[in-house]
Amino acid sequence: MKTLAAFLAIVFLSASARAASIKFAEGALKDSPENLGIDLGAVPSYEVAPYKFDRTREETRAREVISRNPAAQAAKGRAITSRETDEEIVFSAGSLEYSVSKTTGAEALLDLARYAVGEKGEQALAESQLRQIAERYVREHITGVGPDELRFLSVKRIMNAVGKLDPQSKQVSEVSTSVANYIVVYQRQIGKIPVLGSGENIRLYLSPNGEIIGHSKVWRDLRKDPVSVKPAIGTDQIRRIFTERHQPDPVQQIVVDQVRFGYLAYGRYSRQETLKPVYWVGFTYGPSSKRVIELYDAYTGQFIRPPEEEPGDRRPVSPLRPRVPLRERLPRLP
Amino acid sequence: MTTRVRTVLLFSIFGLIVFGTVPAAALLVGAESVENYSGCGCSTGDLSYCNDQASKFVSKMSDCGHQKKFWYKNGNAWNSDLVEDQLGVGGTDYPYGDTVHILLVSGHGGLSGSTYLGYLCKSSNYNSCNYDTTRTYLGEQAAQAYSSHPGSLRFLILCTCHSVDKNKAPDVWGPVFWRGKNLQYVMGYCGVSADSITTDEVPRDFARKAACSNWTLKRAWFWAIEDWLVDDTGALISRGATRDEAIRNRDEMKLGWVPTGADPYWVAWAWHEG
Repeated sequence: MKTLAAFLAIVFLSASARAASIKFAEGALKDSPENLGIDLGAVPSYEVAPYKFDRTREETRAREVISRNPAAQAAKGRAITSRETDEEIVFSAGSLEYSVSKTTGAEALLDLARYAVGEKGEQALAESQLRQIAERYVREHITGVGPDELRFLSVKRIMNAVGKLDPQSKQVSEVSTSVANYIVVYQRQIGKIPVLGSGENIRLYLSPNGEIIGHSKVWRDLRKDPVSVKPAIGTDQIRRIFTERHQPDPVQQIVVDQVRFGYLAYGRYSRQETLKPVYWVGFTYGPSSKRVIELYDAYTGQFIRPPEEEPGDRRPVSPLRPRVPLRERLPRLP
Repeated sequence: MTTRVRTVLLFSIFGLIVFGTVPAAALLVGAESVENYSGCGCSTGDLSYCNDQASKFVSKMSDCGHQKKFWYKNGNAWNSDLVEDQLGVGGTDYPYGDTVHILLVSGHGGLSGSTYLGYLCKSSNYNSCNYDTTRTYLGEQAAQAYSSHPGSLRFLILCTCHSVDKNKAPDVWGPVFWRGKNLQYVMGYCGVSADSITTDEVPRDFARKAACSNWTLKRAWFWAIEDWLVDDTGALISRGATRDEAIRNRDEMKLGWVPTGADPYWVAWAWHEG
């Protein structure tokens, strides 16, 4: 009897020791649909109108952009050349590059001589000034974007620094820093629902003095009427699904710091047929951990699996089986 | 030798010294990535997109005319490949990590003081779940310490968290630059980076711009990160014998540049903020 009790205790302890401790950080739910006032009873999905690449149309558009856009000063009086890959067409004039993705129509305009280098004589600009400049540029130069769909997200900076390295101590001194560029980022929003991911956003690039030096626009055309309207599950349910999925993970702890709800859009080179709502759950395993972002179908709660991966190379000399110390093979105690 | 030939030769040598460039030549490319940490006895936590990052990177670099030497993943991606083989601790940077010109590593990573720790898998000769910058001697030229197997590495891409910290980067990478004159440039992330469907294309996008479109490393790296997830903050660091050279290397270096052999009395770095 005693042996059986001891055996059951070991089994119980082993099982509980293996369970990961899952915590939701303070503020993790600030972007949950309930907090954003999204009606989960009727969430639409949208069909993406397929983009058809038309070389002549894009050449005309490139000429128009290069001749009128204030970011295209570097191209004045320069001949426009183009090169094409299976993914994009790139027009160049001087240090200016204007590219269009052949799968999505996403465009990028950039004065490369002023991107990520830094210019002298800059004075720090306030976020309000940068937003003012950016909003005016969007109104005047970005086409096909409804103002109610555009949501300011953040101002990012590219910072530069340089310092002297002591050959003995290897300590750095005489450090100076400066802003190379400001990047004003807008995210698409459909109704109250934000679009998450690499697509459906606009980035405006500014010099340290606040001059626009380029933009990126990944913005798919959507069919006006939803392809379906269905109820989505709530955040509580996604928390339960997440916890059940990760409880058996062989790690000590999982800290969830992002629970977001929105449409998932892929990047500039990815064809996409529909915009569907997802839950985006971001978590880390500890201080040296990447932030893992998992996606769940917001209608069903089903985990969206990563794509199949390619096989890697084998070592030229067959490796011995990695040695695992005994203590790591034993279950971890709580 | 005619005067004309002599002049051309002189100008060529001058150009090589001043600009440190040669016509773009094919680089040897390597990549190591781990998602399945539990499978190699490490409890760091499994990931899902590191192998995609690495495979897309080597594939695009090959498309752009460079030569893939290896891509090792999971149990075949060893921490020892970034540890100096001459230290006597089981390092295998020769014949692996330091035998390519550009190496991409994707997995977990962190900082401990002025030491960067990267996480790949254990191997039979290096029984540790991480490697760190106190044991990395990458790109050593002949006559430098531990150079009985000189290192080839010029460009290192660390798709991990905290690989190029905005405050610690000079303390972490300065000593590594001093140990290897060939190592010119480290690209990575400042703070936490994402393992996500929205970031798995960052290294491919970098390769597209740096290798196919001849963009500078800095533009290609920052653009790739900006394009795939707005939360991620990229960072990079380069070196120079003088302040101006360090800045020029940071801002203008391309894949075709060859090392000048100068000591890194200055470092220049950059990062995304916000």
